Amino acid sequence: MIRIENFSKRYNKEVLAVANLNLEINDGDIYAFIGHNGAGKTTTIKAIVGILSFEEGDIYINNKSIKTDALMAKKEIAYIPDNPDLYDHLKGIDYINFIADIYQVPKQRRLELITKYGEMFEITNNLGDEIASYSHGMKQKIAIISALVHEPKVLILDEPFVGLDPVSTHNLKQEMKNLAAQGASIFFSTHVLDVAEKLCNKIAIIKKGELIYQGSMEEALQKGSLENFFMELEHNEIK
Amino acid sequence: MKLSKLVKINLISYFNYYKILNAKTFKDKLKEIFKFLFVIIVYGIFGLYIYLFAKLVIDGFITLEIEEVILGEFFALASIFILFATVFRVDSMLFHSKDYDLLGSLPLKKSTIIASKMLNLYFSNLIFTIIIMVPVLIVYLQNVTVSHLFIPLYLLTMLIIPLIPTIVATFIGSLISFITSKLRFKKVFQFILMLSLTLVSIYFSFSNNDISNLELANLSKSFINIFNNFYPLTKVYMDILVNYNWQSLLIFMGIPLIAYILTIGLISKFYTQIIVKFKERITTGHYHLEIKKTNTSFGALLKKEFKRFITSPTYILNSTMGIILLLILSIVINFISLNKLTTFIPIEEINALVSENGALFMGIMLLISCTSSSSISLEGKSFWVIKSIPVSYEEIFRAKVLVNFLILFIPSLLVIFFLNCKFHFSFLTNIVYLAIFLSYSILISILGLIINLHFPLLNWTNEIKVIKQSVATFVTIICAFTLGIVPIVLLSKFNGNLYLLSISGIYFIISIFLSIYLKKVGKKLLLKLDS
Repeated sequence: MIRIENFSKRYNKEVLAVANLNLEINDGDIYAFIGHNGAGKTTTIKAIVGILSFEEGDIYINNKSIKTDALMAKKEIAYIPDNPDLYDHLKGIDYINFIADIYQVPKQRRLELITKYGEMFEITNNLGDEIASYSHGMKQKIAIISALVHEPKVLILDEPFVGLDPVSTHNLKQEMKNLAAQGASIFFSTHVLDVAEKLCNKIAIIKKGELIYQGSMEEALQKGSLENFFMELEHNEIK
Repeated sequence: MKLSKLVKINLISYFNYYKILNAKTFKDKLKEIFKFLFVIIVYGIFGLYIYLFAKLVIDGFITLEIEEVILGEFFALASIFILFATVFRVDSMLFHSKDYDLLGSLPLKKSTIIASKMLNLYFSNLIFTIIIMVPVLIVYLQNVTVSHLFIPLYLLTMLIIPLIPTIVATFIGSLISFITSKLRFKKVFQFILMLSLTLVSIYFSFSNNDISNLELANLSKSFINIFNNFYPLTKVYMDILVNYNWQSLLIFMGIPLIAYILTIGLISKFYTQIIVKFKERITTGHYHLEIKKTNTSFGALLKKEFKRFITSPTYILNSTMGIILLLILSIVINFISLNKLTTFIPIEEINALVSENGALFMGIMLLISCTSSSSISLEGKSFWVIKSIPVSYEEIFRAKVLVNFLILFIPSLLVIFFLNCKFHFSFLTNIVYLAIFLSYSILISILGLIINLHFPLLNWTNEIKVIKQSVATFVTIICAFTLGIVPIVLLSKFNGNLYLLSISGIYFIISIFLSIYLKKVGKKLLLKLDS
C-alpha cells in the first residue's frame, strides 16, 4: 500500500511542482496517474521511490515512511523510470544480477525469474551483451526485468510502455494484472488513456501540481470513456 | 548562418554559459561563477608554467644568438600538445556525439554539421594554443626587439596553429576508433594504446630536465630541424615572424585552411557510412543463462564500482596514472644498473633518498591517483539507480572509497616489493613505506569522494568532461599536491622515520575526521542531488 499525505514539492524553494497531494493506493490496486507534461507526475513518482527529497508531507510504503525509514520502504518497491538510463558499461545480465544482489534474491529463485521474464520479453539471447549496445526498448526490458526479479510488493512505473514492442506491452500489462491479483500495489503514470482505461481500477488526475480528480475507473467511465472524462475535466478547469 | 548558430550552440554548452546565466538562486549563480573562475585559474597556472619555461629556455637561445628558435619550438610543442589532446576526443565529438540523430534529421547539409563539429574542435584547441603561445609572446617581447608587424603577424598565425594538428588528430583518432570498435577486447587495446601514448609524451617532457640552458638551446634547434621534416610549416612559421615574408604567410594560412575545408568535405561525404560502421556493435545474441554466484548487497556495490573502473580506459588512465607510473618505475628500476643511475646522483645518495624519504615523494603519486573524485559524477543519468535501491548511503560511500583504496593500496604493496628487490630495505623502512602508502591511500580515497559530493557533475554526455575537466578533479589534484608537498617542504625542519610515521599518523587522524564528516554531511549532499 502507498499512502501519500499532504505531499508538496518545491524546486529551488520557489517553484511549486506539487501541492498538498493526498492519495492512497491499496493492495491489489492498479492506479493510473494521468496529467499534462509538467503536471507533477514524475516529481511525485520520484518522491515516492526516494529519489527526490521533499520537505512537506510524507509518503508511506506499506506503513514505512520514505522520509524517515527510507531503507525499509525501498525494500518493498520496484521502480521503472520513464527513461531507462542504466549502467551502459554492464552487460544486461550483470545489471539484473546487481539489482537481484541488492534485494538478496536467492540464486534458484533468481534463475527462475530471469528465465521467465527473459523469455517473456524476448531478450534472453541478448543478456550477455553490453547495455550500451541496446536499443531504447531493450533497455526498458532490462529495467522491467530488474524491477520484477525481486517480486516487489509495490510497483511504481513512469510511462512504462514507451519504447516497448506490442508483444512486450501486452505481456507487461498481463504481468501487472497478475501482480495486482497477488496483492501488489501498482502505481503508474501514462499519457495513453486507452491503456489506463483497460488496465486500471483507479485513477488520479493531476494538473499544475494539484490533484483534480481521484476515484474509481468505473466512476470515470460513466462519461463513456476515460478520454471523454479527461476532456470534460479539462474543459471545466478552463471555465 | 546555420553554421554560426550550430557553432554558437556548441560553444554555449561547452562553456556552460546558460548555467551561469539561468542559475535560479544567488548561491547557485555564485557556485557556477566559482566553477568557471576555477577553470580559468587552472588555465592561468598552466600559462604561468609555460611562461616560466619559455623564460628559462630563451636565455640559452640568446647566448647562441638564435632567439627566434623559441618561436619554432613552442609552435612545435603547441602542435604536438593539440595532436595528443585531440586524438581521443575526436570519437566522442565527431562520431559518438549524442546530437547526431537530432541534427541528422534536420534540414541541414552534412557539411554544415561536420563544419560545426570541426569548428568546435578548433575553438577548444585554440584555447590551448592561446595558453601556450601568449606567454611565449610575452617572453619574446621582453627579450627581443621586434618590428611593429610582429605582434599582428604573431596573433594572426596563432589562429592558424590548431588547424593542421586538429586535422591529423582527426584522421588518427577516427582510425583508432574504427579499429577499436571492431575489436572484441577493444577496451584492453584502447588502454594499452592510451598508456603507450601517455608514457611516450611523459618521457619526452621529462627527458630534457637535467641539462643546462645552453644544451637545451642546442637540443631545441636540432628538435626544430627534425620536427620540420615531419611538419614543414614550422620553418614557414618562423620565416613569417623573423623575415616578415608575405609569401610564407600566404602558404602558412592557405594550406591549413584549404586542408581544413577538404577534411570537412571528405568526412561529410562518408559521414553516414562511418557512423553506421561505428554503430555496428559486436553482439553475441546467443547468451546462455546461468547464475554463477550471488553477492551481498555491499559486494554487489563493490563489484559495480570496480566494473565501472575497469571498463573505461579513460577513467583508468586519467585517475590512476600516478600509481601506474610508480608501479612501472619500481619494476623498471630493477632492470637498470645502479651505475647508470649514479651518473646523475652518487649511489649512496640514491640509497639514502629512497630509504629515508622516498615514501613521501612516491606518496605524491598515490595522492594524485583518485578514482573517488569522479565516482559520484560518473553515475550520470543512472544516478537514479543508487538513489532508488535499498542500500544506505554509507554503504554507497564505503564501496566507492574502498574501490579507490584497493586500486591504490594493492599496487603500492607491489611497489614496496619491487623497491625491496633493488634497495633491500630494512624492516623499519618497510613499515614506514607501508604506513605512508596506507595513510595516503585512505586519505585521498575519502577526500576525493567528499570533493565530488561538493562539486558533482551529473548531466554530462561525455565521461571525459567528468574525469578530466570537472571542478572536482581539479580541486582534488590541487589538494593532493598540497597534501603531498607539505611534508616534503617540512623535511628541512624535521626528518627521520619518526617524522614520516608522524605524517602517516596525522593523515590517519585527518582521514578519521573526514570519514565522520562524510557520514554526517555526505548523506545530505547526496540527497540534495537530483538525477
